[in-house]
Amino acid sequence: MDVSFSMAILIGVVTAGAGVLGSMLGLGGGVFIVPILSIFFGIDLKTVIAASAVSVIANSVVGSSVHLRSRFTNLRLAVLMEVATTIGALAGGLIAVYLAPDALRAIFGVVMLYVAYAMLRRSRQGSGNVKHSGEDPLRLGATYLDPATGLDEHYIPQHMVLGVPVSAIAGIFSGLLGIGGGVIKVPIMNTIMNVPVKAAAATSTFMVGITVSASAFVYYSEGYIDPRVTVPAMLGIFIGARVGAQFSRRFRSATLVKILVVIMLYLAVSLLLQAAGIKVPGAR
Amino acid sequence: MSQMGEQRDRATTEMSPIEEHGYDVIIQIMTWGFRLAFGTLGIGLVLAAARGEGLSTRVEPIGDVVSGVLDGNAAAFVDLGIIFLLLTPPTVIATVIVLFLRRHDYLYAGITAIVFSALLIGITLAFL
Repeated sequence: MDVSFSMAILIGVVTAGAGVLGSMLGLGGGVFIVPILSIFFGIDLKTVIAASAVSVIANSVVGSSVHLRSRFTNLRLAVLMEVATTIGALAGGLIAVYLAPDALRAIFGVVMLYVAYAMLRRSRQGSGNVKHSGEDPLRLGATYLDPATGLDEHYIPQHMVLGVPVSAIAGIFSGLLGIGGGVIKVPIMNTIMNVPVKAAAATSTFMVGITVSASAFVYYSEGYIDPRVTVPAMLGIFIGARVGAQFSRRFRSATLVKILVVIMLYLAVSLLLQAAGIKVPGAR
Repeated sequence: MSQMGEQRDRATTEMSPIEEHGYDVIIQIMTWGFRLAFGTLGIGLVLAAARGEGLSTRVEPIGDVVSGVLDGNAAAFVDLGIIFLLLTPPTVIATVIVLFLRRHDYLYAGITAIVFSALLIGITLAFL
């Protein structure tokens, strides 16, 4: 596959747009760039998944630094969940190497449908039943300063026996599809483990880089990381995510979320149609 | 509880000075890992643009990347930048192990070591 300089620029522009969209939904750009680059640019799916994985690492490294400064990140919770998530990602990455592209497309399409559903539900989700005091045998309790209230928020994560194994699912999909998995991890932490959303999002941002790096090394060993695609994608996502974070502060609205969800649904259906061997308009 | 008029950027926390310092070290590693990765990448892109060279079609094995960098090969610098980025999360995890050991928190040092071992499997696959 020949990647000209102009194509690389276009990849960067498109992935920057994906980064903006993803950031406005509180997602990494992977859920957008994998279908867009594979369907409409005709780039090999596994190459795009590998490019997405590297982009997720870049975003995670920068994003989690911010949360670590504010002490939103719960390190003990992160490493405990990472036991399952990293093993899942390693397994997912190894499976992806041997799985047929159409099978990967079908899986990605289904995951995108779930992500779209999760985005619509998110505004109606409660904040979970946060436990502020009591027994904490695993010493997972943490405190952060909530900027909204100016008060210290102390919480103790719950139901680790269920939450940790379930997070392996996030790891498997992360490894299979080159996405961060935050859209699965944050609801796990918030609704199963009763972690406040701010702490869950910060802890997830820290985790996704580690999770994805497990499978990224697998992609590297198999030769799927193509710098001609990865570099513009990485730069585009990185810039787009920073821009999107600014936009989302000013333009966040339920209507915008619905528009972005419709885009996601379109991409999901396109992937599923391609997986079924049906040609999608505009696809290469 | 914050006092009236007092500006804080973090909680009045139960963290020990060692733990506070540990968080700051992790932040530094992430920051420098990112700078090293993107800096090396940037050198490669500038060299490639100046010489009209293209990038490689895959990130080469580490031995070839190192020899390419020593030869001043632009694509090798780009490959090395990507490798530095991939190595940043495992470096962070190794630091977290040290952080927990310094706090004599052997349970979480052990848990983090399991995570690091899983990452090592991937790293071994990549570099062998």
